[in-house]
Amino acid sequence: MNMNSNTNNPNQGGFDQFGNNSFSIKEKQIESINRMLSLKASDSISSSKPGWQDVWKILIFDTYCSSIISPILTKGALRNQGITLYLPLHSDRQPIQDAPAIYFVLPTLDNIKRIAEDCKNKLYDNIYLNFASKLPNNLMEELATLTIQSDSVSMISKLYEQFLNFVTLEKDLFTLNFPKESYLQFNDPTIKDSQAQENIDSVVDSLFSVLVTMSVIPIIRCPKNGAAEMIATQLEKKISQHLLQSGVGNLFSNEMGSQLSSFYRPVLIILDRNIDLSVMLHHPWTYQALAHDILNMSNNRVKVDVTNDNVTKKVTYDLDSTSDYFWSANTGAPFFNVAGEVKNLIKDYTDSMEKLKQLTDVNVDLDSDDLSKVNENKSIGLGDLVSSTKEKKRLMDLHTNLATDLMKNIRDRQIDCFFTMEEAIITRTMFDKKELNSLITSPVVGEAGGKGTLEDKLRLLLIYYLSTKNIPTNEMETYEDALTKMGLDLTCLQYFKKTKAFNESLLAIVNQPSTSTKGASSTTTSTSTTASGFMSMLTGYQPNIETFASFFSQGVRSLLPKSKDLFVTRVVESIMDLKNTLDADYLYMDPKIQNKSNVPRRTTPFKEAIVFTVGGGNYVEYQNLQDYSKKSNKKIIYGTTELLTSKDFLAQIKTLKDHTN
Amino acid sequence: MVWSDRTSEFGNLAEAIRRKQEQNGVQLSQRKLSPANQKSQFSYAAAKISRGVFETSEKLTKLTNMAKNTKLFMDSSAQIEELTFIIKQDIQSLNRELSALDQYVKSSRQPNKQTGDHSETIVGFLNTKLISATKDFKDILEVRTESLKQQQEKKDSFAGYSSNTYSTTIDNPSGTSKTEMRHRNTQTRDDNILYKYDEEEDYDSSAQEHSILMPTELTTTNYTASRLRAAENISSTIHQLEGIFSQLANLVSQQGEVIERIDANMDDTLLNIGRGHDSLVTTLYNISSNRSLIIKIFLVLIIFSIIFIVFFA
Repeated sequence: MNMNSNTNNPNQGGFDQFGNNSFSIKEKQIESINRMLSLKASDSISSSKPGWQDVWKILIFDTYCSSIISPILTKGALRNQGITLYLPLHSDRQPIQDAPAIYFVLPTLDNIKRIAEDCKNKLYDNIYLNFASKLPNNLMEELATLTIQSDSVSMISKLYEQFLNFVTLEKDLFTLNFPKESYLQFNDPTIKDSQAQENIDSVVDSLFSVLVTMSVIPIIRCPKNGAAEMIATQLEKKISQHLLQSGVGNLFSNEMGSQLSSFYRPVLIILDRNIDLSVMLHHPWTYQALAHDILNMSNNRVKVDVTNDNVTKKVTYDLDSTSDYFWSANTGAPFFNVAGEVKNLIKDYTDSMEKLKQLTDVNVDLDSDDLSKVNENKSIGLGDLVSSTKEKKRLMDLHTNLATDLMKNIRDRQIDCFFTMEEAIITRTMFDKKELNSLITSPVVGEAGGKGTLEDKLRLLLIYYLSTKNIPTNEMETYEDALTKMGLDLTCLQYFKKTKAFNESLLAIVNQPSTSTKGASSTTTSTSTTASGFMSMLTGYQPNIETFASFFSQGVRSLLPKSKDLFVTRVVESIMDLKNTLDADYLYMDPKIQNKSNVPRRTTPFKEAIVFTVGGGNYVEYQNLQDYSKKSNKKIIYGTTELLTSKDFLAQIKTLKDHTN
Repeated sequence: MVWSDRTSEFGNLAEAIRRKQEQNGVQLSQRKLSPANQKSQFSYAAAKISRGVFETSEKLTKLTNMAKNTKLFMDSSAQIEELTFIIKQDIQSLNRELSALDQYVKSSRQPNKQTGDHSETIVGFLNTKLISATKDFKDILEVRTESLKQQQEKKDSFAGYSSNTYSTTIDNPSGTSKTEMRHRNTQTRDDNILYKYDEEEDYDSSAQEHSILMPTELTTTNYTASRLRAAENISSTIHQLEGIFSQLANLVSQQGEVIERIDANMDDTLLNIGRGHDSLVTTLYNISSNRSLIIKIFLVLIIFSIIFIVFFA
């Protein structure tokens, strides 16, 4: 039930005893940011306990850097670093006396100009500049010229490059959020060369930063041809150039001996989105992935429809796996389990409420002596209990609302049906053609017997098309006709038809799904909507265990995703375990070896990997990789240019098709 | 080493550009920015309080270690009392200073809103820290009270046998002398005499014991009295702390944004920007319509005056 890894991972301590070598990108990034904020240029800051603040600082950031900081550090955490104000760079800022300002920005011309202006206006005492990536020399010159003109060079106390231009969402998940519409950007044949080069440069730059932050020099693997190869070769060049130039004191060196870090070298697997497109269309069934796909979670923040007294309003929640134990335990859990867990959460809350009530309930019949004694004993720990109950209430509200909203969507669109069908198609198990037919051709949500939205139907059809080798033409036509009649734009399908030949050649590489999947074990209970129970849930917003329980036990299938590895996971497995199946198609690069003609191969399997998909990824893939890593006791960090929902992805495909015409 | 410091590079670059520009005849004012301009009274006071709270919390850790020490005969109550007193004084004076600072922030006119926010955050932050230190202090005092209680109970349970305990300890030296005597007298005296002698010896020793016991009892009473005083002290301190607590509590409630993210207001900001833009557009529209009206009026006026000048003057 509980997907928490720590318990079923016996060898985990083996890595953790090397303290610094913990393979968590989030930890490393927080460490780097804290060091930046402490204004001390020493590594020891993380080990010593937070000292006392006597310098109060102001943090100034641009939009991108705010998206770096916000998922990992809250205002409270920033305040503990002595940050009093957090202001966007491009906003109206007023002068503040005797406080240094820390700038955390991307090196762009706009930002440089604004910084120079601030210097000129002498807004702050002094300025600490931190650039999220490498500051090009021409921009540095620009900054110098501008500040000399206003005679304010001395305002700038320090100038650092921080190598932090990537957004960490979980301890093993990062995204670049750049370039926007990344699938389009990396697959558009009409794109300008300069633009394409710029995209690749920025991705290489960010990946370099990831590696610097992790202090690792990995071995790089990537498929031949395509954007992934270009990125991999440029990244390799960049690393080996850096190593050559800076020698021992390079950015990758850390306190530990180099032998140890070379022993624990991970593999960086750069993949092209095109190797598996169906996963981008697949309906998710795990908690986090559902929140992303249905409710459009972005940067760990989700907007939920909350219905209270028949008034529906949007409430924004932050999902932080470090402070929210429920979220961190259930991100990868199938939705049905989450529903059960939410019930437990509510029960937990009611229990502690009961306890609180008992404590505060003063019995007047007692003698006054007894009373004071009782109160004395009670008051100890009462404050802690209140605050813990308050925290429980917050979590319970959050997850009840989130789960309810997801539930509503799942029920309305019958995502469970789509999910089972798609999973059967992808894993190539037997499925009921009739059900497929009914799912695709039935009317949309809102009409009688409607199943799914047009988008859902399109996703199902595309998955069916992509994963099945020979589909009878008349069958395809039936579906297409039905969908066109409903007013669906089939441009995306045409795009896939074009590229299918290409995809098939790639699919051939894949070994057939190794894990034998059992037939759909889920028994469909009555899916007929029990409107009354549902409505009572919506109105009874205040946690009502009875309704919640009945709500989830009725009509929802107890679906559990079958253990199956997605294509990307199979590639990662075969590379990490040094299976030879993919050797011919995947390049092997080692930035540490300067002699490129003869690169010695590694002979022991990898324990750690960084997987990066060029052109977008999603939580389904991330979750699948994490499940694999837990199973095989490896550590995998998943990164992508952009976390895409199916909707975004389809929109990009559509634009792509329009461009190619 | 995961960052690179390019400060010196930047400094050199700036110097180079400055020289180049001076060579080209561009005169740059050589006005040096006065470095380390005088810290304001406020930030000085804030830093002082901050340091004070830090020192206090260090003293607290010391006190914790002492208070946890519950061994019966290794009592450091004098030190503990002294330290408790010092910390109490510290917290009270810090609290006074902090409220003065708060007053200062509230009363003095801030040059702008953001500076005001800045100072308020500092005061709020210091408050939270002071509160947590006060809470720690209170917890320690509670622990101390508990351990005093336990010690007292222990002592009470010992008190019943105390004379026995003392007698055994004091018996021992005389015991050795007895055996010596026995050695000396075994051959000359029979068992009875020996027994008698022993009795005498016993009597002697018990008299001795009594004389020793007297001062011990006296110290015990003294000791208990001092313990009572300590307990009273502690309870009064706790009482005073409660006052400070309630004072600070309302200030802390303002600091509830610990779990908020920095982009929390981003959406609002976007909305406001949109609104601002809209109203700007409306204003522009209004102004432009006004402008045309003014132009028209002036045109009419000018034509009228021309006609007036030409025909009637």
